[in-house]
Amino acid sequence: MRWPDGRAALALAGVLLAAGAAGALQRRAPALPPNDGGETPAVFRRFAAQVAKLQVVEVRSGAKQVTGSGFFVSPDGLAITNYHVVADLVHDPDKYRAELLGSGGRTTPVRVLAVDVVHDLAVIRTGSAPSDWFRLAPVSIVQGLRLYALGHPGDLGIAIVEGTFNGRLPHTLYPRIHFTGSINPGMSGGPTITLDGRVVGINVATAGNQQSFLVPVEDAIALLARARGAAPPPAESLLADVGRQLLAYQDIYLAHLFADSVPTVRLGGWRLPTEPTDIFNCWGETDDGPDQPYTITHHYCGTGDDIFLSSEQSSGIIEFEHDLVESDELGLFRFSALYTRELRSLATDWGLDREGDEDVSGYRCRAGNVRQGTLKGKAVLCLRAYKRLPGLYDAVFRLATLGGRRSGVITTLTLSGVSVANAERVVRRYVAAIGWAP
Amino acid sequence: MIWVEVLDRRGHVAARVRCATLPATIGRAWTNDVVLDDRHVDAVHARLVRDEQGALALEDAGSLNGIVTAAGARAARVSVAGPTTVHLGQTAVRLVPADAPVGPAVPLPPATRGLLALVTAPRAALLLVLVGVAAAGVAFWLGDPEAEAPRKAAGGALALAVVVGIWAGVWALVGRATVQRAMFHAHFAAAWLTLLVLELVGVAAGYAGFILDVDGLATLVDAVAAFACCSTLLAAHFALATSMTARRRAAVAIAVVAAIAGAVGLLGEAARGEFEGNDVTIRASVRPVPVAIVRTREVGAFLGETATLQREVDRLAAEP
Repeated sequence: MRWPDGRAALALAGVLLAAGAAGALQRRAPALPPNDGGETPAVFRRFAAQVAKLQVVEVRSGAKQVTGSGFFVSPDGLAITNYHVVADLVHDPDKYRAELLGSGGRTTPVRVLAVDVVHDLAVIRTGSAPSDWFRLAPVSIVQGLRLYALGHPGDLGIAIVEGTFNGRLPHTLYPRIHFTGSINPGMSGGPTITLDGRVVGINVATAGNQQSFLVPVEDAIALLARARGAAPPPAESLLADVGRQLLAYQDIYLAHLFADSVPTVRLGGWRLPTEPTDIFNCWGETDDGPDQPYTITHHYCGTGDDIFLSSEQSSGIIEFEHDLVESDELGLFRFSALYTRELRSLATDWGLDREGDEDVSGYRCRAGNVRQGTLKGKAVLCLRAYKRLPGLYDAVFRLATLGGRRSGVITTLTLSGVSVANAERVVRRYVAAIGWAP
Repeated sequence: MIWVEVLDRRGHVAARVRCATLPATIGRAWTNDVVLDDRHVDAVHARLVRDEQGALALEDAGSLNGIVTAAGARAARVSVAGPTTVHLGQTAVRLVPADAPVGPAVPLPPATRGLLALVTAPRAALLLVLVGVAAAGVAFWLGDPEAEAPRKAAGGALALAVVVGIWAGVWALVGRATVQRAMFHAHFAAAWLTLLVLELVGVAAGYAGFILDVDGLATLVDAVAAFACCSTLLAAHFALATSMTARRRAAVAIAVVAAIAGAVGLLGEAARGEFEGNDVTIRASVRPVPVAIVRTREVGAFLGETATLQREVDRLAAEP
């Protein structure tokens, strides 16, 4: 997925509609005037003014860093957007400020009231008093229903995108709605609504080819309830809240990971965990070039989800991989050299989008020979600490089975943004799921 | 009586002639007492004489290029009270009265013993080099699981031999310049012996660390062995290429290696300060030994020690 947050400025488009008209639209489908081009123009005319353009500006340069969208949910100017639109502001409040772009390029300062980093939502106070706003309520709709996404893609002005509701994603750690329509960068935080103006979800991500994703409105309702009436918290308390949310949420999703009977796959006589829950997706391939004197069979499982922390850092990654290393051609010593090379070869391209040391420490590793039942292996545990979110770590556990003269399995479990206690618990259960089963 | 020594370009004695009766002549003609093969020297260039007071002197016999003293001045007559060097044409000639004193005898150098004797003996040196090159090739091959390992191992061993050869060559030049003996084979063999010992210690430490499950043992032993072996090698080079005493050789070798180790340590420290980004460096390794002799602990015990690692990364995270 990529985040549809744009990097181009736009003036706030459209004019706010009358509150009465919007209220009526909550109750019934609009009566469309003839020859106006159909339903979409009507939806646009009636709801576009309730969608605002947001931008996060770097204070030093005075230029925008991120642009996105938001939509009003109260008469006193509360609005919903994505956490990832305002994430840099939450992380570096001295470096950034957020503002709402009104008509004619007029800007109004924006304060972040509450964030939900896991579901990628934020409630902001805009300082505007909209003449109409969206009333959030749970929705129940059927697959295939036509929906309309609103937002500010790039510098192109407000846009409306037609698409269809395709239910909730079945294999995802964080709830997402599958919206078949082209949400584009800059539309992040905008609403996707039904014909009668009910918010179904909040634009959050796209995979291209009209595969777009929404945060279900229920998560926005919960966050809004928490934020309503709250005074803008100090910036450092928002970041601390992000850390608490990550810790709290992982306690839920890691609590039973590998705890119950874990489906296993057999690789070279080893029984190894695979697809522990339906949020995992597993893939495989074999590396066996024609002149290569060895074969490495990869079995990879991951959730495919991550949590956006800032434009430089993501978290919440859970993945594991088994590499079965085999060779009939290499002798004992050369196989050992190959096995050591594979044990040491660990490429992580996740978690950090740039070479910087403001977000995390470097990795440090410990190694040791371990046993569990009949399993003996060389274990390696690597950690790095989150600098801004104390108590959170990226953890990589790797185990190379010992005893095979011509084969062995190197298995790697990666958990990002976890507490050390949770990492230890999950690793114990992960290793317990591994066994020799010739 | 006087001795006339004809010196070569390096100042070494190329010929030594005794002139028992004076006057004696020096020149290019075969009739002279001392014949010089130098076309800038006259047929009879100079004459060695003893004056009425019995003092020895060299007189110009009317030559074209004359007598040039050690100070570079042309002289018609040069007194020879003691060993005196002059230039006749392009030839350096030292005139030494027979009664000139000589220094005391220098004791013979002690016979080389132990490893130094091993590397100075040509056959043993050759054997060491052959074993070293072969061991390097085998080590490269065993450490490379790819199909092209034999070719790369041979190339690696050859490249290493060239590097070691250059290193030994530099020391041979130093030896040639300072103690007039190159001993290339000995320098070459000493360097290969050091590499062999380092490799063997490294292999042994790697196996011991793996079997005993001591994280970092191999690294520690490698560092200690590298210090000891490099100091010994440097001392051996000094023994072969200089006239330093054994004590001085050892002191200088240890000081030089310590300084290099310190510089490497500082560079390493500076590198450690650099942020690694997403890179994970794993130094663990496995060795092909029966798993029954490998010391292990329960997974829980291993994970129970994570607090140490946690403190380490917390400390890193707290650094500005």
